[in-house]
Amino acid sequence: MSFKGYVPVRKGSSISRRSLLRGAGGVSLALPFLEAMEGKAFAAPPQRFILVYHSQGMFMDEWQPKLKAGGAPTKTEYAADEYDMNSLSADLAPYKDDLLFLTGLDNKITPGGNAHEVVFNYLLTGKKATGQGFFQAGGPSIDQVISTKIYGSATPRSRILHLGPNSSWHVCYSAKNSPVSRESNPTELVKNLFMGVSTGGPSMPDPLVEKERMRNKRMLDAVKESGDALRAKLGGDDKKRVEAYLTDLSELSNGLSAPVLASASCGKPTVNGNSAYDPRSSDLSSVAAMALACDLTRVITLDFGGPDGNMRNYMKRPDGKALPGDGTDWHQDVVHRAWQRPGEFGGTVENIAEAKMNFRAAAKYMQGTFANLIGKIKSVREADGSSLLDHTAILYVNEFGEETHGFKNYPFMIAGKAGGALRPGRWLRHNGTSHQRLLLSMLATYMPTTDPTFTSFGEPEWNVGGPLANLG
Amino acid sequence: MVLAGCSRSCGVLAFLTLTLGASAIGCTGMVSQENSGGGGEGGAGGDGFVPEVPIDPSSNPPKVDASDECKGVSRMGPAPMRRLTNLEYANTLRDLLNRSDGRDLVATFPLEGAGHGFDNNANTSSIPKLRTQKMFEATRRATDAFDPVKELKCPATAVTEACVRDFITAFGTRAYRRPPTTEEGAVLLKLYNGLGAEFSVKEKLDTVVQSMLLSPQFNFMAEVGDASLPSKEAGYVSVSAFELATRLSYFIWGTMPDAELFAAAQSKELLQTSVIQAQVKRMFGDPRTRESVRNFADQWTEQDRLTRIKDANVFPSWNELVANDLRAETTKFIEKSVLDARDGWKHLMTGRSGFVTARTAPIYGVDVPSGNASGGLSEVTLPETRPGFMTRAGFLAGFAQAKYPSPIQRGTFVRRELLCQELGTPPPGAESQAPPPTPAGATNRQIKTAHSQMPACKACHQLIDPPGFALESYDAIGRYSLTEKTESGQTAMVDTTGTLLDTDVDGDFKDAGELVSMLARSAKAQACVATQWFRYARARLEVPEDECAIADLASAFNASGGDFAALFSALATSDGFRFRPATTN
Repeated sequence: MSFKGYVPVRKGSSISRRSLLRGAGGVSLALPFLEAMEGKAFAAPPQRFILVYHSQGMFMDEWQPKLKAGGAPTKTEYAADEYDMNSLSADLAPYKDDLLFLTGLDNKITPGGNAHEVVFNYLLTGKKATGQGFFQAGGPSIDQVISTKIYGSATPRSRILHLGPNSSWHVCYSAKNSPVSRESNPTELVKNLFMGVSTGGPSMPDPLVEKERMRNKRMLDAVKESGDALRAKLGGDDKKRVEAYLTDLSELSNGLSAPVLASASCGKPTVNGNSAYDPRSSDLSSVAAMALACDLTRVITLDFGGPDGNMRNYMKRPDGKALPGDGTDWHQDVVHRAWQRPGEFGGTVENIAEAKMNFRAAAKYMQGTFANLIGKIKSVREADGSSLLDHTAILYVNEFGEETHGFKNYPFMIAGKAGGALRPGRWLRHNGTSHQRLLLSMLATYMPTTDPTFTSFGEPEWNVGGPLANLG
Repeated sequence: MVLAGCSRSCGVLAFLTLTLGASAIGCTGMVSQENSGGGGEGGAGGDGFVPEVPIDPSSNPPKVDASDECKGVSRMGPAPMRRLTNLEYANTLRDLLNRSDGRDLVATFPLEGAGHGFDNNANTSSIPKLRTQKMFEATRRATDAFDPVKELKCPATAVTEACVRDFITAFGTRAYRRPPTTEEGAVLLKLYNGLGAEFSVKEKLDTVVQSMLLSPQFNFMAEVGDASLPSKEAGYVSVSAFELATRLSYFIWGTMPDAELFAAAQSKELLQTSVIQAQVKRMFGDPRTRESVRNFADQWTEQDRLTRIKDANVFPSWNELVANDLRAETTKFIEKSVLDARDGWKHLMTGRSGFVTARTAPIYGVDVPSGNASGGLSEVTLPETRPGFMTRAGFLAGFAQAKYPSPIQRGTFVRRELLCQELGTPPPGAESQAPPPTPAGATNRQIKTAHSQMPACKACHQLIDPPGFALESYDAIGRYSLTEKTESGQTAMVDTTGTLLDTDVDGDFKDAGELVSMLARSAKAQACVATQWFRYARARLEVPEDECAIADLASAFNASGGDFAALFSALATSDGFRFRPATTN
């Protein structure tokens, strides 16, 4: 009987370097033996990519790294020991050496109409919208393209785990005008995604489960076969749409039988029975870390959403006051107001100061949430004993930059080394550089320079100069 | 798009200029072949409709004839493929698998997108990958509560291949909404036979059913047309009788055809105009139509806005239950206009029926009557300050912010969704310009529209804001008041006066009542409501070449005195509903 769909190693048989060194009653093993064993047992860990999306802009002066006293203010690159974390990014301090900060990058698309709509269409696709309105993006988003590089061209719509609220808003697209939906329920997710993984690691096959797998496979093959007959009768976009659906079904079918290359840390994550999406709970970062550790996916997008009345359940303001609760219009009364001048849209000196205080508290808290995610990823051991963060890039993207709904000076940062392509522990300062060039750099991280699509992501007019220099 | 007669710098774009005979037509030079069939075929011009109640000239726009320029112009238009929406998916599984409800099956599906038009819009109707996974899980749960063995025409202990084949044909015809092809049938039979002895008959049939439910045949409304039927125009082919049954049932019911529609498709009688009309009439009286009309109403008036928060300090009585009751009222009011009021247009625009609960009656200042409750809602006649759907609290609370009404959102609804005018986007930089400051004590109207006087903003906002001002006497949860409490705490009178521009009923108004009466007399507004139904029935936005087809609908609707039954019949018998491009886009 084949153990198709099951992890070839069980917990205990994949031993980390440290436990091996520690093992055998303190008897240290000769290193050549260890290297040889590792060389045989473990392939090099694959590259991973996580995209974190956060809404509503940032007070850049309070977020970007703060130069230490006496630091030269005009350099374009600083090493980590030249700066400290700022007030809003204070919680990122433990990961200062894991982070590459980038400031001075602008979103170059022409503002007009609803700023959210423009961003939803352009920010992660780098493409001008195909029409007026929401979700008219001109192409796939960066996570999709990176995924094709990681998985290879055979799986054009590869397995990407999209985590986020089940809402009608989208920033990621699988193709032109095709927004992708997000998995929002951590409990469901653990049930379905980690089907073959038990709490203690990958489980042994169960004959009943195996029978079910076979039934599903045959069933989906039949859908494909008769679906192909239908597809042949159609043309144009109708045909493409049926094709895309059949491709997804094939992947679903393959996913039911694909081998899993689990790391030593692989195990079913415990979630606290939450069925609602909440980026502030640790459930999602646990699920993300384990999904990578068990190699159930190599690309994740995680939508932090924006600040809202739920914040008060998690945190207080530094002055001890509660944040505004559920019955508050955060978008109008906090986010918009925080950048208003007195007299504008009913703003007063007092209510603007109050809004700023609330915005700061929420922004700082979410930076802490990002720090937790970095910590979770960093603590996962790969099969070769290295940290998962060494083979991962976590890109933090905000919807807006330094002004209310503004397109200038976005707060970008990347955690991790992406297999050595990135050199974190630095702050790179730009001045009005197109953010598309950063997206290109991220893509370049996952592909050889000989790849013909190396410089082709997004609108050519804003790609001038190619990938950003000096990330690695 | 055709540019409207007005061409201010705002660039208001509008369809349906033909009904006003106002501007040059954009669809000349098309292939045209005059209909050689009998009079009334094609549903143009409202032939054959006799209003059941005399038309009240005070509440129906003046009769307008489609311009001469529509003579001989094609009414066909594109027909892109779409998928079942979440609601249609739930309804279809309910009917296909004899469930009492199917909505539990789609509870974990990704929500439908918030694009322009309705959620069945074919242009944004791909199946996201996550939905494919959710469908996989839903089909498993759905088959748990359905026993295909009971559908067999042979005993479960002696299942022959012929018996399985019969099942595949019978169930497949309902699942695919047409008989399966020989090839499709063979694949399903092979699937059944390929499952070995470790599988029971039920497990094998379940697998066949699940395979059909996951098929693109079930999930998409793929059409290929029927080339054996007479065509009417070069480049177009008649839809098959089964495809027509599907179009009808999803338009009017939001679910799969019933046995009678399938029978009419099987016999091809459904292809006759008189049979379509009879079916529309029959379907109109079915409860499934009510649900579908409410779905239309909910999306048209964007009632999902009611899930947004209200400021608890200002509206302590507001909660989710109030919001739900108001949402139900808005859709019930429109349901009554479409299905129960024979002068539906008049009721929609000016009717004073309200549907209240103990929770929402205080918003209107009325008492809940005992008795006559339907679906938890009691029907009452509201005060004179509540004419038509735009003064229902659900509508008003939806187009409002957490604390204050939003004249801009309300005005935008009137322009985009009641007059079908596209406003274009604000000019570059308009959003980042600071408006002139307003003094302490400024009213909501003064604060919200401070920027409207700036040159870059004025061109559009002089069109958008005034209809919103008329509704300024209804607060952010829809209560009527002639005063407001300003941001700085003073009490101020609200100003509901304004001037309506760029319509066919331009003029000054002093309050909501006057604005609503003006719009009720607007042929543009009436044609726009017909356009909204076109979008819903055809599952796409209109394109310029639809202009004459929509002019026909508007004219049929108007000639009937604003009877929605006539509008539905005209839609269902129109060329575009019965024919499709011979090659799929």
